[in-house]
Amino acid sequence: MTVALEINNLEVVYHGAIQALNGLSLQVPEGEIVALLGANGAGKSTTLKAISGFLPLEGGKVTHGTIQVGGADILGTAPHLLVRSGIVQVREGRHVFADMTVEDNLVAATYATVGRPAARRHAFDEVYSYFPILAERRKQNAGYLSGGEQQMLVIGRALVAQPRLILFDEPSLGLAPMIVAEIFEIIRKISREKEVSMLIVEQNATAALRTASYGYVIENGRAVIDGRAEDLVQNKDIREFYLGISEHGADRQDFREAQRRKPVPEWLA
Amino acid sequence: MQIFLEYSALGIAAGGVYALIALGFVVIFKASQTFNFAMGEMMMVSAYVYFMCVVLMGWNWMVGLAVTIAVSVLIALVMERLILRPMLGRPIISLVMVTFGAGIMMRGIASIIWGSDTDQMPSFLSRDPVMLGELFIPGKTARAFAVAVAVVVGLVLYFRYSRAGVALRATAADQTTSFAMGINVHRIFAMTWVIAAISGAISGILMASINSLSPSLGLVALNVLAVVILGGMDSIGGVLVAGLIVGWLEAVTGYLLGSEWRDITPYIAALLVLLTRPHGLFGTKPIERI
Ligand SMILES: Nc1ncnc2c1ncn2[C@@H]1O[C@H](COP(=O)(O)OP(=O)(O)OP(=O)(O)O)[C@@H](O)[C@H]1O
Ligand SMILES: [Mg+2]
Repeated sequence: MTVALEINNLEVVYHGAIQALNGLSLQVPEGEIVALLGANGAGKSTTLKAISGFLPLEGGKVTHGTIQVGGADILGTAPHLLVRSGIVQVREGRHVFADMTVEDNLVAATYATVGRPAARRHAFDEVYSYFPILAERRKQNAGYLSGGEQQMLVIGRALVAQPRLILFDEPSLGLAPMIVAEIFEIIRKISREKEVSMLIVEQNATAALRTASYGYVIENGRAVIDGRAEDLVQNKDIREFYLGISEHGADRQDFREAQRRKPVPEWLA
Repeated sequence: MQIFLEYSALGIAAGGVYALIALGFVVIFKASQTFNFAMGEMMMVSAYVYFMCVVLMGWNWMVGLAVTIAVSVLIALVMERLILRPMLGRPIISLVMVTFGAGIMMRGIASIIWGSDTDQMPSFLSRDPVMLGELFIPGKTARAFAVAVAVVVGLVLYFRYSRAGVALRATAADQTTSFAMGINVHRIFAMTWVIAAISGAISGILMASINSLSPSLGLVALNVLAVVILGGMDSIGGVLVAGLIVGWLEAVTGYLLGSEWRDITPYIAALLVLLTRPHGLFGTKPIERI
């Protein structure tokens, strides 16, 4: 088994004071999907930003540990250069270019292939075949797409970037269950057909564990549980805290669902 | 009526150059929300460089133009790299003050090198008047208009249809996401300064050809602020329409109300537009989905 992403003993501090990661280690095997679960503030997004090089933009710093992609150390590489090497982050909150057309959003993503051979037309056709609705909306401003369509568009942008590793931060955020299922289905399809490794951060553990082959639960900046997805689904703690299934029969699913679907204010996203 | 039309045509013709100057402001503002108050001085220095090439060195006007654009781009890149980039992330007002200071410096240096009196620019523009039906338009003004509009339209089309244009709009909308798309945001900033340098060089030469050459040539750029506000700060296409409107307003109010109205009318118009359309005539309003 070759390893796509390997994180060892990672420590991250924000503004020289707030310790967000505290000895995190994890692996994503080549071509697999790995879920990263955990409560609010556990350090999930921080992990992704450390990989994609965005920490410095937010006053964060890796103080210890290593991050390797395909065996090469990537710590300290500028974000745009990481993308150009196929390491693509799909950030939390979608971030489409609202005033630009769907197609121009994809054109913007072609910068990720600078320095690599790229067939632009072909890449767009591929996006449109995964997401036919985007083909219909090609000339429409991305700001007028629905939440689900916007999520499709940002996944499409990641595809144009010819990724080998995609980092998803809460792709289900604010979406209705049906759309969530559809999007995870396509994520899995992309991983299989394009042989892309993926690390998916999710609050929606049910959906994530259904899609991933392996999972990690982090707490206070380090992994506390990990295992194969089908085992994690059976794990008592995970069932209780992340899947909302209590062994006593009381079902917290509805409450959690309701909480999750509360619209996220823009300043949080 | 004939005189009114003649003034109108003159004003619109002058507006072409305004649009070109305004483009230099807008393209930088669009990418980095910074106002380059040294724009006028970039024009002025360019005009002197051209003057030196063509008059003192006796070079062909095309060689002079090429050298002028090269020097102007060089100055802009040095400013962007040494002064503005280290200031990124600071409050906008500090960035603005820095460009203001750079402009004053350039004006001072120009007075030292070239003296503060007025020089006559040899023009590559023909003086032969252009007749539009019954309308008489002085040759230089008409030709300066044609050159300026051609450059503006060329740049507008370039930004509308090229990949670089998409990158510029993306950077303007969201720098972090652009970065995440592999767009080198710093390179885009630098590109906007290059565009401003080119529009500054050409508009500087045109201005000096129409009027005359002195270290205060660049002060006209301040009048152009009304164009920028009217068009809507970040609309590259908007500057063309706004430039022509302001040029026309100046000429027509100068004719109808007297020259003391000339300079303030564009600002009155800009204010009125702002009251009803806060983003100018063509500026982007943020999309709000509810
Ligand atoms: N830019 C920042 N500056 C300071 N502290 C930060 C910053 N970003 C995150 N933190 C802190 O680091 C810790 C981990 O945050 P992170 O965003 O990684 O959590 P998360 O697991 O993604 O949570 P959520 O599920 O709410 O998105 C939190 O305590 C948070 O307050
Ligand atoms: Mg998060």
